[in-house]
Amino acid sequence: MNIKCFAAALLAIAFTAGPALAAPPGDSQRLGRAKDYIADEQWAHAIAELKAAVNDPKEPSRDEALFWLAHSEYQAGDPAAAIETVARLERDFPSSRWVRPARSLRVEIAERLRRDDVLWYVATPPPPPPPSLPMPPRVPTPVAQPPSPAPAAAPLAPATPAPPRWTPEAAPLPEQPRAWIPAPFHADTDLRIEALSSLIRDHPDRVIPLLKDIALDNDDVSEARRAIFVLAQSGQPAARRTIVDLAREATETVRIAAVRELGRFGGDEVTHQLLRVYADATPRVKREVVISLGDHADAAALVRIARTESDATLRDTAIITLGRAGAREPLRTLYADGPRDARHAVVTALFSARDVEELTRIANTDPDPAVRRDARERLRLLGRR
Amino acid sequence: MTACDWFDSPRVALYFYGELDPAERERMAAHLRECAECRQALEDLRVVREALARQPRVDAPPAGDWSGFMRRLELATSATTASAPVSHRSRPTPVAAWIAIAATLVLAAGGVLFVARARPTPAAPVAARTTVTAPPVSRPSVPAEAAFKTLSEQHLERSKLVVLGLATRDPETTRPADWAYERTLAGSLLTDTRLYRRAAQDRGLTNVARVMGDLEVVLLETSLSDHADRESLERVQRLIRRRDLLVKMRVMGEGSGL
Repeated sequence: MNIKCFAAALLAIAFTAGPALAAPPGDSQRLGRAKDYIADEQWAHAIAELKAAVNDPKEPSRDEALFWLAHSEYQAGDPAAAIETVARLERDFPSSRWVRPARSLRVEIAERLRRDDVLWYVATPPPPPPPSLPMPPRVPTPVAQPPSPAPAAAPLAPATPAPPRWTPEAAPLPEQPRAWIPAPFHADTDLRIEALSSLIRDHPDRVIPLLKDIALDNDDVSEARRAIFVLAQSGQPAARRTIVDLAREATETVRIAAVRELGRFGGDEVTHQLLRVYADATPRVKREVVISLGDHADAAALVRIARTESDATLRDTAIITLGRAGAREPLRTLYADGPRDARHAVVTALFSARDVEELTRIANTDPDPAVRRDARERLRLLGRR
Repeated sequence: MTACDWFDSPRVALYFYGELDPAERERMAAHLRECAECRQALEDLRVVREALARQPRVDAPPAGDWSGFMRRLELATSATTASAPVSHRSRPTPVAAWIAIAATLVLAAGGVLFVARARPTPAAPVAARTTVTAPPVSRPSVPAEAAFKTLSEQHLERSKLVVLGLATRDPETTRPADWAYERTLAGSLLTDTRLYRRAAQDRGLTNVARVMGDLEVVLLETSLSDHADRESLERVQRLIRRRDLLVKMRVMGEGSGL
């Protein structure tokens, strides 16, 4: 009886646990455990799980495991191992989507270890595609002439024309740092921006023109915006001048992005720079300038625009921005001697500035009934009527 | 960029929240019949509202301190008082802009919207007494660090929608297609998050760098992983919880943790 019970128990265990015992431990479950360790920042445990995962041929997401392994190794303070893992990911899974963030990780490690050669290799723009050269004219070969000697010191003509912006005199093409990047590749624009952001502090004279080129030549506004962000973040005067140039020269969307960053990170000269941009800007760019001036509460510049701008919409935007900046006195003066058709905007701005006294005066004395009504309505919203 | 002036104004959002007066509402309805972009914007708002309707109010501001919240709400609604449309500051894409507006508006609720419109930004002390005849004054610049903090807050505000969406989904009932939206949005936020994290590290803003780093891991996991099954969603949720990401984002968003 006991033997039967024991046998039955064994059968039951085999039935329930059999599939689990038969299945290989790990694969995606192992990766899942590793991610939980990563969530808890238990890097040693995560590395152990991930190493097992990347060496398991049955693991369906080895590329993902390799990325998280590199991430964990770097977090654990082993950048050399992380670099090797990134290289392995590139080699074994060159088309994996995890390669891109792994390359970002490599840029970050290179910055930390001050490996400018690696950063320059990544930041270098890809060479332009070789143009299709026209066939050279046929020259009949002289029959009975001796071969002319080649000029001894003449340099070899290049097979293709030099790239437009990348000349050996300006900056030689960097050598591929094979220990870090075993297989050559051309970085995408965002990766180049990341590398350039690592280099800008020590090499502003070389980096700033490259970032400017990215902002000028790029169809992707997000990439252009990020290039401008890196310029703005650097705090370098030359970078700020470049942003001003971009705000005046680039496509409209990039100009708007440049104005925004200029307003956000501009220094003491920002008002002057914004007004320079304003002088020859499109209406959309002008509106962005007005908003940036408002962010700086620059009442004098806004008043100047409110007085001189012929576009009524822009003028009113400047006036309303004055109100948000709380500039009551300039608004009162604008009401008194500014254009009559701007008075509705002035009333709105006085409302924003909560200038009850002036609104009350306008509500009682303005000759235009519509303006008086507008002022009364604003006072009512302020709880004064 | 769009050619539609209505799209650039807050009218679609105000229409969505029933804030337009009857005449404006009628005009907007007529415009919506003609304009596919605005219709799409309206649909985006609906999607966002449905998504947020399921969320607990985990990112409501602390009781008694609504200043940061009101400031963002003001940003979202400020153009309503203007006769001319004024563009919003943070608008990388139209959808993201609507999301930012919608998230703020939903969380603040309709009553707060009214208060915000009646309560403009308090008058800034600077330049309030500048006279029109005075020459332009070279003002002290906004410190770059403060500007970066503001930028980080805005980015975290945008990212909150993804993190909230992930954190509050029910894994039992969520199918892979249900969180495809969060996965896509996570991918679009990843590059900026990395850039801001590194900028924060350069500036020595370790708290910001830390939150951005946690956010980056969540966005990587969400946007790049091949798996969108129940276990994957639960794992992302655990990651968000264990890193206290929502709490950190809320603190940062309120400006007190920067």
